[in-house]
Amino acid sequence: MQNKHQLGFVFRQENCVGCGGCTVACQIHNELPENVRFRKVDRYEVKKDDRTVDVWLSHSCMHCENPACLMVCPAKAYSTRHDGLVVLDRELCTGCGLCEQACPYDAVTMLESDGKAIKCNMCIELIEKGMKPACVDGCPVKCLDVDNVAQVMTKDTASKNGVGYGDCITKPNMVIIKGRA
Amino acid sequence: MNINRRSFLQGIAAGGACTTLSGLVPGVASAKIRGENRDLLTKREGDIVYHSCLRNCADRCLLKFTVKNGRATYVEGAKEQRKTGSCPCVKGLTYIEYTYSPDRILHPMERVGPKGSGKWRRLSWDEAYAKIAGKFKNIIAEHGSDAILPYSYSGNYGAIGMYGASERFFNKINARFLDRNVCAYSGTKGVLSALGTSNGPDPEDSVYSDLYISHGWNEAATNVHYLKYINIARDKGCKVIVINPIRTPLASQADLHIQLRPGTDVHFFAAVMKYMIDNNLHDKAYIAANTADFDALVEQLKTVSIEESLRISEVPHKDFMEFVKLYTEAKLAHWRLGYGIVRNYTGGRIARAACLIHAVGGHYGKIGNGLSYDNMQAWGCGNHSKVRATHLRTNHDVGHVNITELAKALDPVKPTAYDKPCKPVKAMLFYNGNPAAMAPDVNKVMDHMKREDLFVIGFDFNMHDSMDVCDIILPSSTQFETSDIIGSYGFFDLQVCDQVIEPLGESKSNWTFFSELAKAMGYTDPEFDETNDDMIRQFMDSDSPHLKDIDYDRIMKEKFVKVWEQRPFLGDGKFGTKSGKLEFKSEYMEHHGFHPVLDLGLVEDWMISEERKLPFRMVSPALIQRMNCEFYNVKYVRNFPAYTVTINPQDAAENDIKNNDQVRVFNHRGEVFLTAIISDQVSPGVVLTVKNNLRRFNPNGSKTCTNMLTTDRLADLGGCSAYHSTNVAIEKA
Repeated sequence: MQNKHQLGFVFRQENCVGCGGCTVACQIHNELPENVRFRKVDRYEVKKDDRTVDVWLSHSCMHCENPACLMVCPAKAYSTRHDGLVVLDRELCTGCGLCEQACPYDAVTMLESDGKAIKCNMCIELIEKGMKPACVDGCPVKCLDVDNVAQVMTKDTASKNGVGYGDCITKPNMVIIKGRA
Repeated sequence: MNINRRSFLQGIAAGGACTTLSGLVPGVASAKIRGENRDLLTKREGDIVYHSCLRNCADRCLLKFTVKNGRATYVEGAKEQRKTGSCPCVKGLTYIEYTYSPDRILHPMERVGPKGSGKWRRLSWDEAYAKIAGKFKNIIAEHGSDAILPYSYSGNYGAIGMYGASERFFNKINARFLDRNVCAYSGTKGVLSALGTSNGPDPEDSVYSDLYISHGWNEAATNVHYLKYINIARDKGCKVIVINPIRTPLASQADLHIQLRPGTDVHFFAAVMKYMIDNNLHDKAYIAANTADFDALVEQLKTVSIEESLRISEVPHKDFMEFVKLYTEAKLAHWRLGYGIVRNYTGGRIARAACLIHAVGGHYGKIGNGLSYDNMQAWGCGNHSKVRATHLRTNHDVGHVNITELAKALDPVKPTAYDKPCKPVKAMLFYNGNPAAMAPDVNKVMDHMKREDLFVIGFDFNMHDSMDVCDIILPSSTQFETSDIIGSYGFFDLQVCDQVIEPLGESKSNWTFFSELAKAMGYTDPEFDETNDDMIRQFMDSDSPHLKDIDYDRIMKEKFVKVWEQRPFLGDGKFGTKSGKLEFKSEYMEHHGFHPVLDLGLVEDWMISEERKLPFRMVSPALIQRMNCEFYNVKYVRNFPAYTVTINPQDAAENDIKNNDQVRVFNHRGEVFLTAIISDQVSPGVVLTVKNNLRRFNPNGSKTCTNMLTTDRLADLGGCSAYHSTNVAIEKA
């Protein structure tokens, strides 16, 4: 049953220009090593009518309803909050790497320096202060946001289908907005 | 973690927020929440300082730095300014890493071996000033002051940092003039020939447009915050057309992408105008009231064949008809003319033609329409000549060097400028620029800079390819280590640059360096004792109409103010031309040997035959994650690929090149080794590379860069560069 308080990323894929601002803002806020990216931006070349166009997918942890990382973690380092955010407590992580392999969205990385898992916690230290995650504030075209998933999904323009992204058994919580036909 | 009074109070505030959100009792709420990392917030705790980004970009973001104990710890956008919003671009986000880069030069140094040997000896500033002043005095005595050449471009766009500081010095010593016409100037002349002004409407009014035309412009790279406004318009039904040889991000999202052959835009526009007029789709009332010599256009278009024009511009007939449909149905069409098209041998003529077609459509003078090019309202509103102390110059007869022709001017045997002989250059001082990365035909430039007889001084904050071959290198501070003022050349905001931190190491701001060098030369003019604040006040001492109701006190208090401009722009129908109307026929064009209405010349007309027969036109525009030759060493952005060449799949197949292959790109100027990307982001016969990359960071170790191939011949108008009018061949490496 869906958590009516579930928070999720809301992405207007039709407006993304692939600049990477979200990726870098996240790295800076989380003080990540340069080769660790919680948020990645992938470019897809797709056919649209009779021409080829570029579409970008900005993605990180989907804060799934049935998170694979949580299910496979033997150390119970993952938990789901009241607002649906799937958070990793690194103090409990044993570095087994099962979560990295289980995640269908490539959202978990094993940090070289301590061998433990690391992933997007949606900047909960900012969320708790009523602020937006770093990636959202780091998007210069404002195509990325965070919102209540249940409420956003009531809109006709909302779905869990985008280029390079779709719903799956883990029930991801990123919403794609298609505001224009 | 150290706790002081400020962080203690902020901790209480944060605890309060938690109480509200979590419904937990005070005390428990301040406990660590599972998975959170509050240490990450400490970099956001400190004093806030406002400072405008001074990169060469039409956005001019207003930044907010957090400073604690004299160290900048965090940068974000000034949300209170709608244009910037919560963040700068992907590059600006890394300004902390940029400022505290381990590559910073922190002391003056002089070479101890041959030029380029990489062996340096540390100097004190006093020693450095004595050596430079002594050398300059000797050169002036022996060869004249015009043997000293400044070299700079857009590394710092502040009123003081860009020109004010350095021009005071170079004016005083009567150095050779450097014409810094890298960008824009051909287009400026072309636009002036039609409109009589290169200013345009407020870009924020694009939200009212029902058609946005992006012409030779990649908003995602150099104007990314503008896309917010375009997206607002699109949500209200605005259509988007992109005219560009490259499939830019906006081209992918556009309703129509006219992917024409580089430099052939005038032919496409001629076809459109002919069709519109022949089919009675032009705005007759607007033309009659606001333009001059429309008959001359009609007469010229009689000689134009639509089919032949489309063949030359390589635009499919279907796209042509779609363009006509969207353009003639639009009520409020805004044309954004970019700096890509103007870096062509045909650049000025293209810019002029864009102005003309927009008049045929009647798209000037209303909120939401018009043509934007070089909006200088906010950049140019201040008193620049006072800041630059132009009165200090006593000799104007010192000759000019065009920045694009640097290699020709540095030639020790037959130096030339604008195709005429000029005096030899004996010393070059570069700052705000990196000639080894940005000069076209750069192999020749480097050969000259390495000569023992040319005294070269570099003033910059990182080691780079130009610094390698200097006699003396001097540590500059970044823009954040001093104060300045400036506006955008796109948006209409005038903004402050309050000093964020003290200069690192022994580095000095542009003004500190040039004023101290002047004193070391023995100059006692009071202008060299003035402070940054004095110069900001001088900047604001301007009678520009754009500064209506804005004075020093207001801008320093409010941090950003939108300058005044007529709205709607050209709503009074008074163009800046001699006739006061938009001029379909131009004396200026005729005077420069071009057709007075539409000049249908081709890029190939100006190429030497050896280059003309090469199979690919190479365009090298800006990359989103770099700013000219900057950010190549900056953590988090340096790994975005910048040494690639994009090749159309058809061309790649014919040359047996696959994705990620190392390829050799070459012409008579040199060879560059790059990684192939196969994509129809470019049409057959066109390849896409990245401008101004540095040879030292090429990941394949070849120490090659794009500008080893680019042309140093000037564009048709304004002495502008023509980087995109370069032909190359490609083979698998």
